[in-house]
Amino acid sequence: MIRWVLFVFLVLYIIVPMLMPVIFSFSVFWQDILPQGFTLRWYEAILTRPANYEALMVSLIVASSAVLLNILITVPAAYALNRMGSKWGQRLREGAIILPLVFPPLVVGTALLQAFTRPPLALTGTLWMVIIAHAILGFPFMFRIVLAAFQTIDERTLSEAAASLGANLWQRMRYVLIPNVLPGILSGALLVFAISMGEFEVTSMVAGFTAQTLPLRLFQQIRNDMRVASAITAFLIYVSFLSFILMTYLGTRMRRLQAT
Amino acid sequence: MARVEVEGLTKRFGRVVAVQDFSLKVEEGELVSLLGPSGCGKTTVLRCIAGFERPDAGRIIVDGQVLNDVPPERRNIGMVFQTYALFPHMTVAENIAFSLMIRGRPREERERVVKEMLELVHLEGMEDRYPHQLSGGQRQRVALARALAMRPKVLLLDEPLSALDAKIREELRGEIRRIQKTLGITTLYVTHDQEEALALSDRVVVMNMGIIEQVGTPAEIYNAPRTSFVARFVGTMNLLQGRFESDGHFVWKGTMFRIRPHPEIRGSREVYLALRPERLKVASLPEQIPPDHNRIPGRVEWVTFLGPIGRLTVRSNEELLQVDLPSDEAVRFPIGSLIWIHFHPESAHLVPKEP
Repeated sequence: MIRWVLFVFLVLYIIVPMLMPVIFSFSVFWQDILPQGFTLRWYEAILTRPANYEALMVSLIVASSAVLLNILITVPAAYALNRMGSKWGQRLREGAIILPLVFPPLVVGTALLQAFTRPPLALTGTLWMVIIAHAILGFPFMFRIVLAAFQTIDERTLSEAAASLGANLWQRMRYVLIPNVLPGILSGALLVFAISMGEFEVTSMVAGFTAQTLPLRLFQQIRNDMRVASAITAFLIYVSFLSFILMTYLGTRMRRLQAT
Repeated sequence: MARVEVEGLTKRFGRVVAVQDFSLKVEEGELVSLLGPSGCGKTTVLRCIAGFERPDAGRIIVDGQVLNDVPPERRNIGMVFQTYALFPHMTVAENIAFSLMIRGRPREERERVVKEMLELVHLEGMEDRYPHQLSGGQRQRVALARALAMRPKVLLLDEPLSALDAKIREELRGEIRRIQKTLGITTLYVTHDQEEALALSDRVVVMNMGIIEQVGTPAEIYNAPRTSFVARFVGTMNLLQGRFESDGHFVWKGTMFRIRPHPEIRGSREVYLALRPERLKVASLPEQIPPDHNRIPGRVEWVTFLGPIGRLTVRSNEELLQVDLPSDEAVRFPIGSLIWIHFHPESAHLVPKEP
């Protein structure tokens, strides 16, 4: 009984507020208790109004680039740090995961602004700046997941087994390591993507007029057109939710493999 | 098949010396065990031979070729790990054929070898299973098949049975020996289990703290330990610390024993007398003891039932001695009874005492 009561509270507390913009985004009109009419007009508005469409494209490009950048950084980093023995390896691993998380976004934003205002790296206000910012924000999350993947498959022993069977470094990567950590990489990539799609704080500091992402656009729309704003919000919720489902699926796959 | 020579191998990790001046020759088709407690350096020796660790000094030679600078993937040395290390995303067949796939062998050959190997390890029909669908014993059989599929010159096994249940361990132990004999493959086997080492080796290398304590056949190691470490580590052993007298007797707490001479022990000095529990006999009266036997009086402190044997713990001269008797005989000496332990001079073995 008490469990059901708690469950209802959870639903009221988390799910219902999240559902509001979703319901709003499909309704023609919502003034009384219940919304009225069903429409996809507001979603259409995301695609048809140039400013909205552009923001969506910027967000997708930024998120994909941040994911790509993080794959290139986290996979070798996790591989190398997982192999570091001794106390220093452990400290580095923990530091890489925790340190970026303890800095407030405001601090990260300011730091980025100061770091990238001078030539040759005068990137502030450009798309590049936003991509770098999002990659940095996503790094600790992705690194943690990829590192865990390397740890759970006992990368070292698998690599040694493959080496004793005649596989060189490239073949060990290609045939043994990558296939086994792939669920972890995908999982981390999804998380970075979801974080990037929804990021507002740091983006608002470093992005100029050329790099307006969907959340920045959303922030403007809240004052202008609440219905389009709900559609954008709902869209961002779908992205998060889909990422969550896929990550859970990949997580179970990962656990099944490591059961060996 | 190949000869393996290790010459003066030394390996340090930071300031810790894991292996010091280790030398060993393994003949073609021989199975040699490296036996010792955890941290004694046995696994490090194996990893140096496999190429996973770089020796700080010394040479690894297989078939006359120095392997120190050859990477593991070009050594053609098979390895079996304690944790199996099967590739979880591949089927049994893919695991076994991995070395052939890497070498770009045609499909027909791969299929033939997989079949042969599965027959060899008695896992026919398991081709399409995944590792997580197999039991621990089956996984280790697959790992063995995978290591043997490429016809390696040498097979290395690193505690292959330690993660398995006692029953399966014993069964697989026999299998490993059978397969090793069938293929005649030169094999090094690392274990901390002395029973395992004695049961399946041609020779045993007992190691402690990075150095070799003794190399010998299982019988030599068991019957004639050269150091007190070997005497204590292999099997159960009563070690009496006493004095070897120049007249050839051994004196323990005022009692004189007749013993078999030891080639390396001369003159008067401190030594151990090593007595296996099963070589000791028990009598309730001194008249029952044969005249040429040595005798120790004592009192039964405890009796442990071990199935075929009963183990008496006997207190004598403030020390505890273990005596193994057939179970039906052990019941004749209940706790508290005063008895005589006696043994033939040939049953005792002198062990030098380290300075």
